[in-house]
Amino acid sequence: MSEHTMHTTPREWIRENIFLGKTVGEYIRSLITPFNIIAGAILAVGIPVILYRFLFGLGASTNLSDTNPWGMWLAFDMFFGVAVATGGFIMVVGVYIFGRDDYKSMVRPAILTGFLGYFFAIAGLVIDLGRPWFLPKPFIYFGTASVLFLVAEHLALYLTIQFFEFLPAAVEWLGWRKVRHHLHKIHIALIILGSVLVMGHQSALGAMFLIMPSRLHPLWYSTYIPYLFFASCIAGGLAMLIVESMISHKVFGHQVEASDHEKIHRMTMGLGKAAGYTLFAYFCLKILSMVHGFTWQHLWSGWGAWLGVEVIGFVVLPLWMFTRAVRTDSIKMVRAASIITVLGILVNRFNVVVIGLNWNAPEVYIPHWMEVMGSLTLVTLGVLAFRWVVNRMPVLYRLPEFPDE
Amino acid sequence: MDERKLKQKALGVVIAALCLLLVVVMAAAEQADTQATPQATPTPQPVPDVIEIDNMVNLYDSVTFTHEMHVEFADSCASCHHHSPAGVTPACSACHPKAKKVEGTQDKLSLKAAYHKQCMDCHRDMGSGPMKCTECHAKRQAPASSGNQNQQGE
Amino acid sequence: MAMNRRGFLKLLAGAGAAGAASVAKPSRASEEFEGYPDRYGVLCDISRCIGCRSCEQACNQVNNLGAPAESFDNDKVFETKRRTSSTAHTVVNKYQKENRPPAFVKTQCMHCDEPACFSACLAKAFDKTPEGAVIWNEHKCIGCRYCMQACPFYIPAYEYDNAFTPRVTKCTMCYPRIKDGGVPACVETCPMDALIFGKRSELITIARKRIINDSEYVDHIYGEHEVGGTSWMYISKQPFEELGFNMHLGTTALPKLTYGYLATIPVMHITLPIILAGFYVISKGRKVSGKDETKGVQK
Repeated sequence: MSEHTMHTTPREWIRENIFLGKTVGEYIRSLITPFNIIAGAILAVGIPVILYRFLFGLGASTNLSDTNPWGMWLAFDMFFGVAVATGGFIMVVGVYIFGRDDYKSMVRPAILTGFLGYFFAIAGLVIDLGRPWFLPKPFIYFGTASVLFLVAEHLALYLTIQFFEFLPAAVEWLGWRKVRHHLHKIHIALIILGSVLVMGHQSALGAMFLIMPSRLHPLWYSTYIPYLFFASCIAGGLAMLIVESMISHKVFGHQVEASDHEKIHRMTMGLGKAAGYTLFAYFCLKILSMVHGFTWQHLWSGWGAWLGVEVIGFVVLPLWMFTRAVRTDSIKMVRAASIITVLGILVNRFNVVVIGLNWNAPEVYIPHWMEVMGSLTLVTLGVLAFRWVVNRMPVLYRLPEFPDE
Repeated sequence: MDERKLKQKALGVVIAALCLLLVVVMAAAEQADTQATPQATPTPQPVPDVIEIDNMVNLYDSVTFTHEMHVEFADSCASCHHHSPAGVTPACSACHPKAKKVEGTQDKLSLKAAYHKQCMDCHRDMGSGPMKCTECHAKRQAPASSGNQNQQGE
Repeated sequence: MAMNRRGFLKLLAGAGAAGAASVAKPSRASEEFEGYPDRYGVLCDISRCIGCRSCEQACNQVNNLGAPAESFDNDKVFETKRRTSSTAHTVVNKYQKENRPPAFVKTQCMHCDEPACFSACLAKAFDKTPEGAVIWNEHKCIGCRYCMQACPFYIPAYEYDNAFTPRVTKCTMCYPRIKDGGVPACVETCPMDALIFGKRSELITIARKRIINDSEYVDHIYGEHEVGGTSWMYISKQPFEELGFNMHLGTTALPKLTYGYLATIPVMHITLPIILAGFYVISKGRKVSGKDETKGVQK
């Protein structure tokens, strides 16, 4: 943690705030850690892979086909990434709209997770597009009958809003008081607009599949799919918050005061309770969607067994674990349940986007190693970006000269 | 992308010019063809040995039709020259339209299909006679397209 | 921050703007639109098709699709079920059961009356023309391939091997030709009149006549009502289910399935900000009056 004053020269400021008070040489030496070596190896392979995709096309770098045009970069980076990045939205609404000041210290890390989550999800989308340089086209031609148009419009707006929600931390780091003051004024409006956008695009990501009743397996296709996606994204966001907080406080524990560990315990338990409720709501919605669509008859099949694994193993099990954990005040169980919930979102998104989609077509899609590498690279970049920011900006702590609003 | 379009446009113009020439030739041939309209009182006509069916030149060359041989097989002229008074032998093109576009709800075979159905139905029923495409007409090396090339991305 | 009157009015203005900006709802006109009345169609009579694949060849030539892996004379291709690809806008598949003559089914874009691809495209790269053809415009496409997922017939293909200008490819009903009064290349070339081209309404009459006059025909015109009706229709003397046709597509046009959801979006954009602002005001009030114990609990 660096001493932050207003009266440093630019060079001193860079040394303090970019290189964490070290000389360039010291800083580079300090980067040689096991984690960084692994991350570096991933990037050394992954970044050329992404370049290869742009130079040689999707055919050379993926296993996408005419029958299965969507693959890992969409299912994992885009659909899963966006679903678990809702932590920012949840915290910001909980603290500033519903007034839960006891979660205030979680707001900034949540906003950062959300922003980076959405950013790298959209990066995954851009890599997957056939002509990403035409990305502005929908905003010129307005294909408003398309649910995907809604997704694109909302994601673009929401990413911008998240950037502005995070900006106060960066601006405090830079010491720009005036900008900070103006940002403070538009804070609530940003949050409200952002919340509307989140509900819009999270449900829209599910609604995209409404137009494909014959291509998505009946156990996953339902007119309720937008609401299922929204409920699961809340559960996923909460679970991801718990997981992220668990990792942050291990890795960045030195930034947090000892007394805060008690607060972290209480906040985690609170979030776990909320996750339990949300999972229960999702479970009920899922049952309802099968009753409404008369699709429970498909349960007695191989696909039904697989849905059973998804729902029982990744929804009911963590639901039970959250309930037990709250009753026995076990933070370990909450954290374990959260990990399972996050994995459950992953399984669900893969089921809807890749596995259950085109289920009756003769071809099966299996990701190319380059696709796996690309996704891994984006995740690594996100983690590294998170770490870089948290090590420098007031995210896990607050600066005394910027009073809390 | 523009280069492709320009090239296609140029090619299209050349082919259109060739087709115009072909159409003029075919129209002239058709003029001669439509002279043979069915008449009320049949007059004896010489039975041709061989007829060159060449007004459907597209993917395949013209057909050398062995008329004389078929006259020996047939029960009467009417087995092929159907829907006509006895003894009257109109050319197929007299009634079956060359154009492939359906106008109205009349369900009449186009000339090309009339040829193929008339020939192949019988060959199938008799279990002999050419059935494969190239057994009747040779494949064209460089087929003439009878219309404009499509341009993608209009 | 205190929510004073000015702030609240600003918020309402924002909500109104957001509601107005959320244009994702269908216009009234589209729900009442019966389709272009003079649209063309193609009637494919499966019982007439002999599997010569001249249609594939003509399409290949007219669209400059390049030499295929196997020549159009090679019957080996019938051993597997093929689908359209970036170099084949149409394919013919063979279906043969014992004791029955083989049936050949030509597959290509169905040129739906209300196409799913057209509705799915977020950049309006598709157009349903008054002539009935559904065509794709290269200059608007971002390559998201949602159209490929939306199509219930699995038709659009993609040039995955093209790194810089990959295109969505599918049958165009030879739009440039039919616009000038011509017929699609496949129809022109078909030696058996298995394909005929004309006004969709007239083709339906012709199809019904054939079905009535010949009891061997299955009493169904595939494409008359499927997914709201398509310009390309089929009649057959063998059951459609055995010829690879999806009989469970229903008669609702696929874009209609999204209208209900899309209609809720502007409602959400208008009501949610007000509801959330309300919660904000309530929670602020609780803090001021001391009812909220969480106030000032942590930094």
